Amino acid sequence: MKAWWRSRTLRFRLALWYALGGAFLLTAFSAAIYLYVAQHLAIGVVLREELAAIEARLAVTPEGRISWDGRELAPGAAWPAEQPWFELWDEHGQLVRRLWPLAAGQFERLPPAPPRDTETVAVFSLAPAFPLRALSRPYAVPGRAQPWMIRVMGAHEPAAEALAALLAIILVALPIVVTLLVAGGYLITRHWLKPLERMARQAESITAENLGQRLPESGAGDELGRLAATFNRTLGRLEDSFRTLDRFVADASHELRTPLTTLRSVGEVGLRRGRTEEEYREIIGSMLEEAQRLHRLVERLLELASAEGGGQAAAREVVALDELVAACVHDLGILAEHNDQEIIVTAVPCRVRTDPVLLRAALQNLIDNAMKYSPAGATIRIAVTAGAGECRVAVTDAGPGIPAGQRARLANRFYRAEAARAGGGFGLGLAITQAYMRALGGRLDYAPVEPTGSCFSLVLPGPEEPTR
Amino acid sequence: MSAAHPHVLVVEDEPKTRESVAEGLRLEDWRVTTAVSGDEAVQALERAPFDLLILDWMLPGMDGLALLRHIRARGNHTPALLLTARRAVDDRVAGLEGGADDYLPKPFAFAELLARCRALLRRPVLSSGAALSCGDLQLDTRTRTAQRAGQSIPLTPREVDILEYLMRYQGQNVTREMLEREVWKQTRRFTALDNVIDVQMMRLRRKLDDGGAEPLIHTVRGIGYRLGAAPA
Repeated sequence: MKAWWRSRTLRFRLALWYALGGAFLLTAFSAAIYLYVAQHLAIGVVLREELAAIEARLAVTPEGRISWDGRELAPGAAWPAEQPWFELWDEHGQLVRRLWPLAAGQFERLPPAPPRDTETVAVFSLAPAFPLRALSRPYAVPGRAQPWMIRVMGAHEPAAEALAALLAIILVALPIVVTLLVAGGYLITRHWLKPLERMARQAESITAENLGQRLPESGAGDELGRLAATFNRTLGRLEDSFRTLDRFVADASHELRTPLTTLRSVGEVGLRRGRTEEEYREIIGSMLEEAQRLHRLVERLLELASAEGGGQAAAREVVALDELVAACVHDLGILAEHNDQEIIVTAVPCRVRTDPVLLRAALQNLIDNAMKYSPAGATIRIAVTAGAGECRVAVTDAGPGIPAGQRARLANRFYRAEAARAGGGFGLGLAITQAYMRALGGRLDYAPVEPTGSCFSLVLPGPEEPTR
Repeated sequence: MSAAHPHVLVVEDEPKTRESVAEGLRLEDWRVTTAVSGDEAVQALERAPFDLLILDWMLPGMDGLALLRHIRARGNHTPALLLTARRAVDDRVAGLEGGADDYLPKPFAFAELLARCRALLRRPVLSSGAALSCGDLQLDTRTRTAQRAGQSIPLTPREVDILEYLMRYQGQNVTREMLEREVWKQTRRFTALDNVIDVQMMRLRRKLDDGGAEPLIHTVRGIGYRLGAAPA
């Protein structure tokens, strides 16, 4: 049932809701009217109101004199038809006065005496086709120990017939009204949902191949207009990532093909003629080197994809930034010595809450780059500073710097400044560093250095107050 | 356990990997049985006891982890090394919880596979004693001092760490990855240490082989390094 309901169109479901809701409300409304009318047409209610009116105008003295509106009613006085009809019976069950416009001998029967001491509603007929309805109740007369009875009467019009007519009207009209409601609801819903259907059709035709297409935006501020705008923004982002992915695949396939080509050609050429064992060792060693190079490249690509995809479960702990820098320099310092370069560290004590493994990898990478691109004899400066809300590790090299036109592409995958292309490496280091910094909630900054060189900075939120 | 010639079961469906691993282990004078599927492995395990299992995770039919659970549930506690091309940390945890004793991601260097196997067989190349030696080279891991032909060699703390590692694995190939992980304690494969290791090894070699002595540290092209007599 649930599955069936969900498989219906929104239009159908809305129309059905209209129908059910409308039918329910109308039925409730009709039932309320019917009950109200039935209640008020009921004998007791009307007679009780009449009786109250009579009691307000009637007065009976202890001696049994009766007055109406303050004027005494003489026995046998004529009673106008427009006045309410009523009787007074005394405590002995004797009729005291019957006030109605009818002549006494007009009927086969006269109204019987009302039962005493209780309120009674009764219908009796005085002649065929002349039913009377009556309400009797005790009537206290001042100065008398026992109450009299008062009975109000009226010609009995069968309210049941009127009610039956009302019921018939309701039963016939209700389905018609509900049908109109459903039809109207369906048409209106269809009209309003039409743009949605158009959008769905359009969206269906958009695939990875034509991501440039957009949904028509009505410009209206309503929900559908906003939906289209949101959808288009999503498409825009998708298009961007697809484009990045395309570029990445193109670049990656180039980078991957290079070692693969070497691997194949070294192997093939090696087999072209018989060789000494020494030569075979050389050839296999060379192939293994290429395989390792390929392995490292794949590892880095996966690392980058995982960092960019937010797949790095960044552990957070308090790290002393200055100590981390010292440890990295200790690890890599031997390279600087080998290159005859000098690393100078100036650091203030600074603690940040971060993932030490990611941060260390990012920092190693920057220092490695700085050494790689600085000439022999150069000085590499590393500064740890803590400012308002951020901590910064700036690594300044004495390399050729990055030409202004290329700075925007700096952290792109496989980017290497022309001057650096000869230097080896995959050009993935900065992209990975940047992805790490993003995972850590920080960023990678670049600033050119005069007269020549680059300054890369790792910027992290902080500093962390030492916890005691 | 046959101490000199451990009996190893290699379960791997990829023929080239299976045969090259088996061949490599046979060259170490180990006895090797191979299986291409979990079911075949179960049969082999019923026929004979093994000292070590090398299991690929992804196998046709019953996979490596299922196989491991199967035999562990039957009380077989043969040490097991799980090989896998999967990288996620969760997989590693699942593998170790599933009864594997160690976990080696593909692609791996054979030298590393061998080192892990030896560790699982509790057969370190040398005793873990304080005094290590190789030819006329001695290293005292307590005082962290090295001597060659009676001449003391000044070493930095890191050089002592490297030398100790190489001496424990002397005669074996040691890859850069192993050094990175065991000496530099780097857990990530993306590091900038390749050049550092090269330079460090160059210096260590210069110090040890100073004065025209017979070279002890050898570069094994495409693999890594080896400490010991010249390659055969």
